[in-house]
Amino acid sequence: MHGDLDNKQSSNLSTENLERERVELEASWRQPGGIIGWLSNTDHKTVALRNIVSAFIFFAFAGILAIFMRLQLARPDGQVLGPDLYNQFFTTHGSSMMFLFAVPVMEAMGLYLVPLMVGTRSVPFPRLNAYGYFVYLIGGILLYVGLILNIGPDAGWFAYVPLSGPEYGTGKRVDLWSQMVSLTEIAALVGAAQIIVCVFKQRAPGMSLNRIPLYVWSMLVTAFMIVFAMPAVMLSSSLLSMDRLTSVSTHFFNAAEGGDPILWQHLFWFFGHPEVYIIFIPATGFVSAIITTFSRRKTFGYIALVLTMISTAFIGFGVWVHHMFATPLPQLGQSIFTASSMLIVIPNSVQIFCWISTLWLGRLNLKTPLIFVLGFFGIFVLGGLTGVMLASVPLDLQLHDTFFVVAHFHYVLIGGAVFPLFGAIYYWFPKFTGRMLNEAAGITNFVLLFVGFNLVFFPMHILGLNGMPRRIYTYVAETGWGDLNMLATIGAFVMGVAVVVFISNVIYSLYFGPVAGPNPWGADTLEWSTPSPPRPYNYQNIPVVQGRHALWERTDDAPVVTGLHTNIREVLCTTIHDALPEHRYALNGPSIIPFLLALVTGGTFIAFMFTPWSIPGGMLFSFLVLFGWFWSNSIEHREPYAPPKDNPSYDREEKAA
Amino acid sequence: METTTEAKKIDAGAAFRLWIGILLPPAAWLAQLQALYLSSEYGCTNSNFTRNHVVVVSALFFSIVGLSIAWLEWTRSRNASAIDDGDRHTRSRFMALIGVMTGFLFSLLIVAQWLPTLMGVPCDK
Repeated sequence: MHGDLDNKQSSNLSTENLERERVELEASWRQPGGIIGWLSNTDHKTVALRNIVSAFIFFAFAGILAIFMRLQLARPDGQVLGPDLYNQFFTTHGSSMMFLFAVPVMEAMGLYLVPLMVGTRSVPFPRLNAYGYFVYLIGGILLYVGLILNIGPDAGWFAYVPLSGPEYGTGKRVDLWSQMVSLTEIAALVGAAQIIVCVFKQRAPGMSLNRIPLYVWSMLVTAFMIVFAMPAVMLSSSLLSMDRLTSVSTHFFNAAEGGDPILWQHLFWFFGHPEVYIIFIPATGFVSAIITTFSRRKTFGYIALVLTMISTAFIGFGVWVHHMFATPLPQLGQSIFTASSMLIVIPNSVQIFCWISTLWLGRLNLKTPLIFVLGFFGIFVLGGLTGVMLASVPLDLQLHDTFFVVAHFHYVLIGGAVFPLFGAIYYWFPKFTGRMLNEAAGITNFVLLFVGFNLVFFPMHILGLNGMPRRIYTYVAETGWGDLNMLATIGAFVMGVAVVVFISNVIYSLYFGPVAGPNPWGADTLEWSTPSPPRPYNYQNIPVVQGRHALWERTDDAPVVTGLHTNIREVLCTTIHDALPEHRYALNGPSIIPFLLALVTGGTFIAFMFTPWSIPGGMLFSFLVLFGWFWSNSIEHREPYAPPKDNPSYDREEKAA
Repeated sequence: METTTEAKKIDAGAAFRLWIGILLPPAAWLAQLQALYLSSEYGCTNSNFTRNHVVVVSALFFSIVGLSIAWLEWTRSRNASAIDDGDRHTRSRFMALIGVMTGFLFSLLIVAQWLPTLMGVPCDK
């Protein structure tokens, strides 16, 4: 096989052979139809698109809840929602945005794009990937079923004890939140494992570490962050569940019995602050990809950008205590975290500098994706500046739990992640669907979102400075907060219209948008060398990468990899550092078992709200399903494994081995 | 492009040193953060901050070791042709440079987190 890499356009690439290979690949990578087939689909692109659509549906639901909250706060003494429903709405809004939208959509974009960008045919564990999606979906449905049944969680998205503990958090509301968290974090971990293995072991030959696209770097760094951050919240939510379950009744967070409520905050924010970067770092990958393409020049400061991502990921794990400045911790300890919270500005500033330089030195192609990125700059920098303010202990103590904090994190998360995400959707929609989104609607979308966003959240800075606490369901007229709240509510409706324009654009363009070629933007990364949308096997012949900007630096006689089986699902594994071909790896086909295992997992966690016996029961059922999972693997591996007879170099290698 | 046979000749030690160069400074900083947070509690209780200083100096030592290893690898790979070639030397230089930069950044961070102890920030809760 390796000999073939040096034989540019070997004889295997004759038209006849290519057509035969294509037919075989179509057959071996085909996904079954029907309902069972739909549930069995393991194509990473299909699974990722389902994940993206699901995440946007949860985003829309959470946005509707936000509009109700804004209606309630628009005037003093509002009567739209009662206090209980308001509590459920803001908790479900925050939990949806963080656990069901932001992290899943960023990971799903990666699970679609990373295998294409590194030049491989699939994620390394396609069945596990499908399992992750179903588990996430069950978690999301669980949260909204709770809300519909009026048992939605009501203790805020970070569920501080003792409010969320058994004494004050009566009923099953917090349990429901807790299980939702565990389910969605399982899905996140599954996705992270896919991305790490895919990037380290499945890169196309030639894509050494110093040639990996910046977006892929961003997803690799994010995946590692997920691996280290998510277990903390899964642990804390499980401990909370055990504290709350009458038949278990542990006291991890019960101060009266020797527990520690502050432990909850430490565990939660050890996950919670890295989560901000888990959302933000993929967005920096979007920004890098979009700026490079629409500046029509190589990225300025590639090494610095890689460094900033790595260092941000590390420092992101060392700032969590700045969420806890209002707790009784020694000032000395708090000041240590002030230092790291302020120094995280350094890598972020370097990033901004590199992007501005790329834009400055390039020839700008001012299309919708780039316009969203330009909007990101302004909003994110404002959010970053208020972040530096909040890293200061005395100021934080004054502003803690006020609307200033609400304004800050929306500037960071919407400005830092949602604007680039919208840009990314406009950018990659042609690849996802084969059609272009409407440009005029895109610009309308941007203007409405930018204006609406600032109308909603800029006044919140002033409201916070004036002392308006977050999470209050109403206020009296004498506070003088009414006008700014009304302005914010008007802005919420403008944002709502922006999202409606976006959804309409997507639906219209899906059917009537101009047909996109493989590379409508003239971009540089490998996914744009595939047809739009890509075939189930991504690449008929795995490309060999010749430069950091793979398509811009590709020569006319660029070599490709030959010798992979076409009659089974096979991918090429390469070395970690230099992406040298190492061995081939056969993947499993579609299966209903991931769906069944997700049902068992979901059932186990939901039942744990009522009885601890769900754990041994769930383990038993999981074992049975996993037995089916592995048994079906062994059946598939009995398929013929003979190499193609018309590939002599391949045969020689087999014999030599 | 190198073949697998050539790849097998790659000095495993060099790869190990490159990863040490990249990961040791941030690992030293993270360990320092945890230890410093704990030793601050002890220092505040006993009005003795020697442990804080020991923790910081130790972390700074390891961070500088990582930085030095990365620096040596960087100087060794100076013959690499261009910054985005796909060969082992260029990739090594890239990794070494990342290591040098993380070394500087995390050493700075360790010093920054030393400042509250040096400046005598109070222990009030």
